[in-house]
Amino acid sequence: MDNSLDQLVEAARAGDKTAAVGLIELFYARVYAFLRRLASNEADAADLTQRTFSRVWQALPSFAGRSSVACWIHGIAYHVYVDWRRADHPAESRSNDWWSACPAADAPPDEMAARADLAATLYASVERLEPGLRESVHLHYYQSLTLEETAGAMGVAVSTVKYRLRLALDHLHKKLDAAEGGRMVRRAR
Amino acid sequence: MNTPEQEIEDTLRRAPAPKAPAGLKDRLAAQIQLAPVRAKAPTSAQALHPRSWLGRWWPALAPAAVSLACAMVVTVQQTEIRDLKQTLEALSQGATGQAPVPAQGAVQPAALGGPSETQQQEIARLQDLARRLAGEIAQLEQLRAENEKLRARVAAAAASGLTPEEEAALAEAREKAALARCGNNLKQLGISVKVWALDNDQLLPPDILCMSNEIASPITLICPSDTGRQAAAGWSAYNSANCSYEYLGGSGGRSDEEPDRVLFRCPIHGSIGLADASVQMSVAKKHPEDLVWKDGKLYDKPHDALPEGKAPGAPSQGSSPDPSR
Repeated sequence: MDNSLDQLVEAARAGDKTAAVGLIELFYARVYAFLRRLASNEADAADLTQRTFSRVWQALPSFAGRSSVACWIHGIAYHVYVDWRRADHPAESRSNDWWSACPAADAPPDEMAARADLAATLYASVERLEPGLRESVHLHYYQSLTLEETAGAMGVAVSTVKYRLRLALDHLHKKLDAAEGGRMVRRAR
Repeated sequence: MNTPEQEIEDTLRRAPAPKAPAGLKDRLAAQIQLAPVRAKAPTSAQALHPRSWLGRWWPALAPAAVSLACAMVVTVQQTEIRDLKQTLEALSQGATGQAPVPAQGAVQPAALGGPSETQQQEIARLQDLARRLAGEIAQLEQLRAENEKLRARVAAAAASGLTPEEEAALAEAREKAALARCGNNLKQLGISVKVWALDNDQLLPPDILCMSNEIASPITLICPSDTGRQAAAGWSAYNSANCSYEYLGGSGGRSDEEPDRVLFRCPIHGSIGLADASVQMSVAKKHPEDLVWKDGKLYDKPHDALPEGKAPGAPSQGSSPDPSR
């Protein structure tokens, strides 16, 4: 997988448009999902995705290979989102309920309902986290980047990512406990 | 009741991924703008793989290597300094332990590990030069001692080198010189009387002090042989004690009428000064008979020219001819 990815990057660097299309096929869905979760609507996410790949082609000759390709592209996407949020939509930094439009996973009906309830509460709590914590959760958990890749994409130290994730998990834990207590109270009534 | 943290993480990892809208992939593919290939593009290995550990760590390794090199240099220098100190201590101990000590800075060849032949020749030349200089210094000391002896001998000869005859001749010469200077003083006093008389109707001055304008200096009034008197510092301080000569013209008279009248007389030499400003040397001692008092005035009358008179202070009142005059 890595060798084929390296060959694609090398070919795209050499000017092979087919290889560039191959890179798009590999990463555009992940990049769109990442930006869609952060942005407020699909149109903005699509626009940010286009900006991201435009920067990827510009920065491709200077890609030195010090990080993985996924980390490098996610880093570009993260900075594109930060620039967009600062310049164009400072008030729309919160995304909408994107998870409600996503198809539910296969599970028994009763279990699926409970997990969907938990997941909805959890995802909603994530979107209410502070910006640094929220993006760390997105990159590490949603985009399945490692701690090192998350740190490289955000341009911070690995220890910073660990600290932010710890804070985020503690916050989410408290939110879920509070939400579960509320549901039990409602059931008792 | 509490949601496990692992479940939270699993739920987050299973988060649904929003599907990309249709046509996004095509739009992205249509917007591909690959930059032109650089002339010196890095190789695939260099571009896609992280740099080697040396490339990553050289900023830290370079100062460390420099520090290590400096430490090695310092260590080597310390070792050399310690060796040199030990060598110097050994040499100093060897120099102090050798006997006898070489004279006048001679160098111990063995102590220094054997100087070269050129150094030995230089040492020998310097030693020879030192010996020659020592000999010259001894000669100079001998010459200095002889010079001191000669100086002492010359000083002794100057102190008592004259014979009695020479000393008598010298005293006689000195006496003659004093006599001449005394006569000179009498001559000047006689001229002063003549000058004063010219301004005072040819009358003789009543005393010496009234001739202060005519006499050049009070020193003229002191006979060189009169050691008991001192010349007055000025005419304002003058008195009779500052004059060696007797003034005999105070009784009045005219200077142009009695040329042979004695006006000044030296009681030491016996010389006299006459009214015509002439001086007769040692007359009162050698020919006292030629001095004749007349009417309270003393005249110098040769023995054959004085018909009758008296010579004051003379053994006899008469006068005797002096063949020397």
